[in-house]
Amino acid sequence: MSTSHVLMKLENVHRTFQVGEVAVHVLRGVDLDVYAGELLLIQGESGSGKTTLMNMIGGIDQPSQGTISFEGEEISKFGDRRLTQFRRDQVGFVFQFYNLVPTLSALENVATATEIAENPMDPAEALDLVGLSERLNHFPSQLSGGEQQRVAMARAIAKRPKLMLCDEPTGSLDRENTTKILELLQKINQETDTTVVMITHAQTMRQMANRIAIIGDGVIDRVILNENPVPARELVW
Amino acid sequence: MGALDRKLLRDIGQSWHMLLAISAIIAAGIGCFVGMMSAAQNLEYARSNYYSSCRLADFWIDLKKAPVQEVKRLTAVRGISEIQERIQFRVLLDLPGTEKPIGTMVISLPDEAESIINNIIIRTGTYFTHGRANEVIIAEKFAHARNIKPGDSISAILNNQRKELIVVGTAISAEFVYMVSPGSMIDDPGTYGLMYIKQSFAEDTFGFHGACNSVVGLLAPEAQQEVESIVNTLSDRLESYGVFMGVPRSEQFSPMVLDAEMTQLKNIAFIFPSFFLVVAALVLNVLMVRLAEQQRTVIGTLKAIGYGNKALMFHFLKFAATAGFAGGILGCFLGYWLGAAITKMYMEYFTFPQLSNIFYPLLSLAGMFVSIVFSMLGTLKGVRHIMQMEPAEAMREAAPQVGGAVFLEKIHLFWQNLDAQWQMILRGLLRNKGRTAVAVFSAVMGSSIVVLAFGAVDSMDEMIHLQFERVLRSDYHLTFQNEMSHAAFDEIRRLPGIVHAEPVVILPCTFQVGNHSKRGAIMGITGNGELTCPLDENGDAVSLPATGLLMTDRLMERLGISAGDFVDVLPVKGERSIHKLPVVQGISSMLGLVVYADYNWLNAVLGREKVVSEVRVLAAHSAAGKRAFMERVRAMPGLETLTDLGEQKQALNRQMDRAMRSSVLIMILFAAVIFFGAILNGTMVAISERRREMATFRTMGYFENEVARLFLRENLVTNVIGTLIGLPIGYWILTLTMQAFVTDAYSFPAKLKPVSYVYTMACAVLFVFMSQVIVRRTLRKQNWVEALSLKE
Ligand SMILES: Nc1ncnc2c1ncn2[C@@H]1O[C@H](COP(=O)(O)OP(=O)(O)OP(=O)(O)O)[C@@H](O)[C@H]1O
Ligand SMILES: [Mg+2]
Repeated sequence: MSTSHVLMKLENVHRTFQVGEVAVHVLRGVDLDVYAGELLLIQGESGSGKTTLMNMIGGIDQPSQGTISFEGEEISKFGDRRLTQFRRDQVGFVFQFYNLVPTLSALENVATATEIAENPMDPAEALDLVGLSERLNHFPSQLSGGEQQRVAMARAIAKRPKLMLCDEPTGSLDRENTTKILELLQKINQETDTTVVMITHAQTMRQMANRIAIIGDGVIDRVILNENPVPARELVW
Repeated sequence: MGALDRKLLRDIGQSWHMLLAISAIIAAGIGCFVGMMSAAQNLEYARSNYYSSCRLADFWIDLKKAPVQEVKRLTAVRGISEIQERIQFRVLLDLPGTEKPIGTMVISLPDEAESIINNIIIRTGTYFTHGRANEVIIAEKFAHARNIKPGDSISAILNNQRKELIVVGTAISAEFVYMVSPGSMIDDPGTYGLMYIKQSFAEDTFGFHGACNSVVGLLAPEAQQEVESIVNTLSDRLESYGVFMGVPRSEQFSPMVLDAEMTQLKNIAFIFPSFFLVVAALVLNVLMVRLAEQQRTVIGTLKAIGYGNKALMFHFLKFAATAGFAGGILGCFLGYWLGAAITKMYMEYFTFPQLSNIFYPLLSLAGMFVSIVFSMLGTLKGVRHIMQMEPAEAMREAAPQVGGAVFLEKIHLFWQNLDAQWQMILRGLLRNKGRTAVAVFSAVMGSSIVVLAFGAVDSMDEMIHLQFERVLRSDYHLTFQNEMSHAAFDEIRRLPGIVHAEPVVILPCTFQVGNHSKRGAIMGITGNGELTCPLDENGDAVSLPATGLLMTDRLMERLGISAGDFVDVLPVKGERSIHKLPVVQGISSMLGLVVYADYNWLNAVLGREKVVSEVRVLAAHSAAGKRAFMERVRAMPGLETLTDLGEQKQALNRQMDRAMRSSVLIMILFAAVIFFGAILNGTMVAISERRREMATFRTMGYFENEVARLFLRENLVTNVIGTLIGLPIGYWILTLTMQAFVTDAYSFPAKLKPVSYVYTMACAVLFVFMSQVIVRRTLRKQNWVEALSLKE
């Protein structure tokens, strides 16, 4: 991994939330490099600022101080339009609660992403990749949680993003479904060279990542390197 | 304050903009109601003061000439409390600054001021003085329009003699709250005059010593109900003196118009606002159901810890009542203002000594009550929803929204060509059927009001067009006091300045069929004539039959006959024999209950030499020709009125511009309130429900305007569909409204020009785009990141 270039660079990133009179200083100087093509895990206590950090990486939030750059461009200086364009072109999001549109079928949910992308996959192809080619016309309410999350992943990968951001993608799933999702992520990461940044609580998942960044006290406490990531199937729970 | 009330305040604080949108719709409705009712009450109040202070007559009898002695004796008739005899004539005035002689009504008043029936109120100058016989008092409105002031002298032709008259004052009278020139129905103050002369002067000038030709009277309070039969008795008693007309107050022109106007106003005051209130109640239902759904876990928990259904119901009722209360208060203010505006508009047409806008506490109270009642109706669905929630079930999350195909997807070719956004919008609309129905219904109501506004203008335009371009094609009507021989007509026809002339004989008569009877007149016009062209109800020309009558459909209805039937015609003047005449065909008439017959045939039926009572003229349009024509007209003996149709048409158009265009604007503004209120409320509810969805789109890289477009498209779909339905419904309401406006005097064709359909649709689309500005602002204020992590 050391051979690949830096995709994103976070320098001295601070994030403060104003809650009434009180300023909550969540991030207090995060420095972090995200390498192209890696699978980076972010871990930390609940409330440590993982989601806050990820939101800024994905361009849905801006730091109060510090810089974030993507391929040399300082996205922390972007206004709403350019930031939206950045998300549109570069980022695929997967959330814990799927966030599918209930009134659209699986295929159509994926189409919401492909319709605005430059060089997207065919929505059916994306669903095929996540193993749902049989369920194209099913609606979210007709799918299980794991299946819904796979639709969400198809929606994220269909536009061929450089960066995939997953916030506890398996948080609401059982073991078997978790494994399926992780396998998929790994496959996407390895076969399409997509950089994956994932937040999880489970220690086990460290085994499949290239690096693990641990947040504590508002900074990156330490980064653990994993020279030999194992396939998701072989994770020891 | 209890915890539940604190929650109420917070809930209100959170949805204040939706409550405001609903309050605005309620306010528009209550405002209309209070405003129109206030205006009607203002009129009623002013009218009753005016009538009693002027001692307005209960009946009028016009006759040829009767001895005052005879008339005085009528006081003995049971039910009569007072009788007053007068002399009145139609004369022509010669005013400086106009070539045209101006038709004027002259009425005699006692030489010394006394409390008579149909008394006048002096506005400037004085009552008659002792010095001069030829003093006159002029109607204020006419004096204004013609710039005549006390001290001026004017020249008039009275009984074929030119007389100089000295103006001593201007006055108004309850008898002429609304005044138009005979046969025109159009309020155009400068073109028709009214003046009062001394009784003694009238007797001298018209040779009426000890005689009168107008009898007015008051009835004893207990006899008011029998006015019809008393008038008949009096008419019979006076029959030998040539009774032209005997009418109770309710059929006298000015009181009749005023009464019709007030009745219409009150009717609309009940109908029009209901549009708004129904929409408000429906829109409020959408909000309440959403609120109940959003708070289901809270409600479940509250129920679980022991709050009863009643407490929760009151909690939600209070929430909705704030919209009703705010709407009611706003509506009362709006109503007071609107009442003032309507009253001011009436002041242009109706003359009152005092017509002011009054605040009616009871009316406002009624407005508040109605407003709160409708806001309560707006909670029905939501509250029922809450009642039915079982605590255990409610505390759990709501069942996920059901998916599934909608029927539109069966149309493959159509569905396949839609992008995901359209598919999402259409599915959403078809799944939330109730809410979509409310959105569509609101647009139906809103666009109906717009159609009504444009339709009112189109209908008036059409009326003017039909009346002045199709039916009456002449430039002037010359009406004579007495019928002339046909030879006299032949002379007039050859006068300089006249391009073409046609004779008309007018036979004032009573139409009778069985026990239906109606006063009116038959107009004998030239067959194949060019100047008077009757139309049928479709606006097609009707050719005049050689024998028989063409009768206005409304009159045929009143008499209960149809084409082919016979009608008894009893002439008012001359020999009183009854003629049985056939009605050949129905016609439509916008002004008055017109009956046409062939000029030659009508004269023949009456068994007399051909006579002419009116000449209709196409005049030369050159200035010189016009001047020559006017010169001759002024010298014409026995001319009673000169009607200038061009001027009438202009006056009508002016009136339209004044009154109609501003009320159209107000109506469109009111329609806008419905559109905005419904669109904004619906969209706010949708946004709150789909925040998460919107947040997902934004994270996926959708731009703000792309997200906003979803709502725009959704609103366009519901509003365009609603407006498409609203167009025919609006037209239907227009037809009903025009039918409701039909009186003996007027009837308006319901007309909506094709371009008005386009305008209505354009308005609807414009309103959608305008509300989109606020939708976008709301979207901009949403916290997406927060919405994403919410676990709804
Ligand atoms: N919009 C906000 N306003 C105020 N405080 C916030 C906001 N967003 C996050 N916080 C605070 O910042 C801190 C970090 O939140 P964040 O969601 O990043 O934690 P996390 O590490 O993702 O936690 P978890 O593992 O529970 O998801 C928390 O204390 C939270 O209360
Ligand atoms: Mg988190």
